[in-house]
Amino acid sequence: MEKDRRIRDFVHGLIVFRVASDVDRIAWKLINTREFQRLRRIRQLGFSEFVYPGATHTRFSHSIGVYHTARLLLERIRQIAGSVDATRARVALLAALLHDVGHGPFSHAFKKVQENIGIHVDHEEWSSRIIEGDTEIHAVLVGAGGSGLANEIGAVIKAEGPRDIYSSIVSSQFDADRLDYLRRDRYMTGTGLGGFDFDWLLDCLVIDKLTMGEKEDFDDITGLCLNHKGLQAAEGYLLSRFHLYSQVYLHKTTRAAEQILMALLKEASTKVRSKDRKACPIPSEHPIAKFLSSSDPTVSEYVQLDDFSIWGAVNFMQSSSDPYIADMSKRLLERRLFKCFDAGAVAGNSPGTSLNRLRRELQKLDGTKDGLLFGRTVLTDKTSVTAYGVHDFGDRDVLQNVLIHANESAGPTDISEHSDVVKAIGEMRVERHYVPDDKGVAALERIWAEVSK
Amino acid sequence: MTDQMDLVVELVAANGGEIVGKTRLQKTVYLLDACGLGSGFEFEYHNYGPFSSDLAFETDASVATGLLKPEERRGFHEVPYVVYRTDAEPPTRIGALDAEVVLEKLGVLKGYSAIVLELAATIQYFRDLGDSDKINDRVRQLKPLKATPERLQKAWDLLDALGLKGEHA
Repeated sequence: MEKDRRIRDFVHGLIVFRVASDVDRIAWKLINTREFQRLRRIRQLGFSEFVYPGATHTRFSHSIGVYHTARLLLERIRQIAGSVDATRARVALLAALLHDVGHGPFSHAFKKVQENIGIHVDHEEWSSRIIEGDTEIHAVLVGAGGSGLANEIGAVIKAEGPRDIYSSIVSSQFDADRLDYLRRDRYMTGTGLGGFDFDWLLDCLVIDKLTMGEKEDFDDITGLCLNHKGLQAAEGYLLSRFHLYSQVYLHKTTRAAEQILMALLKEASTKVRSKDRKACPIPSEHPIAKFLSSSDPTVSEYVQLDDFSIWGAVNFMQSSSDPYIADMSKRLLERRLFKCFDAGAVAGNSPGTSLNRLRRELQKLDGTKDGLLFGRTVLTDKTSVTAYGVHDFGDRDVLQNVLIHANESAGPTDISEHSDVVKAIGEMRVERHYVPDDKGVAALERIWAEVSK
Repeated sequence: MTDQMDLVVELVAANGGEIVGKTRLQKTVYLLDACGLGSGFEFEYHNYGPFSSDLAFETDASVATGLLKPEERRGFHEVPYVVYRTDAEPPTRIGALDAEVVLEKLGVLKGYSAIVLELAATIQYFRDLGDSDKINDRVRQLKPLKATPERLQKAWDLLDALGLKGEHA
């Protein structure tokens, strides 16, 4: 990079990569690698575009936004602490830029597809394999700081939580990822929900010593919290997250398309593995065919996967000799999705025995009644939503919750202690069953009427 | 009530009438499954180790029907967590195991912290996948803060004490 480079971004405005900055120069080189450019071909929100047609933004623009946000967070840490450790700051900024480089197409759905075929590698692990493997990204990092730099960045991305204040930029309640995607996804979907006061939130961040674990076994760690002036901004931030999760990420139509893709690729993988070319007419050299037939895919096979390769494969599969594969492919191509029986909503989003009984009854469906066959024409989506995210079932520790100072002299405590708004957000359980048509929904309604008597 | 709801309540009953925390409940069922409990719950890697959304749903259903009573407590920095309680008596058989065996295993688990249970369940998860290569290194990479040498040793001790013999890292 011989001169400053500029990118226009619809969330952040002008993002400049300065030639005078060592980290910006490395970042610019990384952006221009083939593995990073792949992110242009992966939509940030996958099938959300079926519901919000404007949501066609990619993991490429998001990743650059995360890098920019990480620089703002680092600047805030410098303001609070007086100085920063340049080496650790560099690792954190580059990890922020590269955090999504291992994302597959249609992230949630494709992760399930991988698990179905016995590949238990999440996107963080793929990111670190790309960063530490035989790739252009690895070569850039080795050129900039030796293999040690690549390994350190890989370690920050792979870790389940922050180790220090620098890795909090990459993974914490106020990480650059969340602070970018909430704003970006809101803008691109066009939803009026989900806004929060980003500038104020950033300015209220403080660094605290925290204790995590149980009385008998705990760790001390440094983390990002909010000062007492940040309460309303934090409420807005958490409410925004809850709304985006419930209204955008978990939209029932988006999830219907994901369910169809998962069922389709699950079926396709068995046909690919049994070399039934008529049932799965994807050419054997196609990236999806190679991936589905592999038990231990390589990095170079993985980085050939993107939205385009998925859609290309779906296009081939619509001429399958297997009626199920052909039908499911056409459904995706024509947006003729399964219909939803929203059992959680019918039950008032409250857990109970009726939902369990319904599940048991649906599991018995073997195709003889109304053509409904559990796992093929009855597809179930179960998850949980809180202000902190989806699939949120476990205990939450101090790093997973927002902590705030009640006043200038108080220590940091959980926001639910101070905010009735946050306390009221609570938890929403989602349990939906998808069937091919309205007739199927009517059949499920009849079963529900029986089990909920 | 379903069989799996029964099972969750029976385990809480066998554990002296309470289990502290969702993490402990999840990791307990996962490790007991490795000992032959046969809960039927499907686990995937999520929420810091093997985790079953079905188990979370059944636990909620047990709470909704009053079979389990949740009590909210606050830990460090007032972060909330839940304790599940029941007055039910443990049966003579839980899942595919005699209650005596389950009681003995639960007694072992009680001697270790939730963090050690999380590490042990994660180690066991990798072993269940048939992926025993450099397990300690992998757990340290995932959990750099929690996976201290002392805790990792305790996690392996716990697996041994549960009778889960297998290749050590």
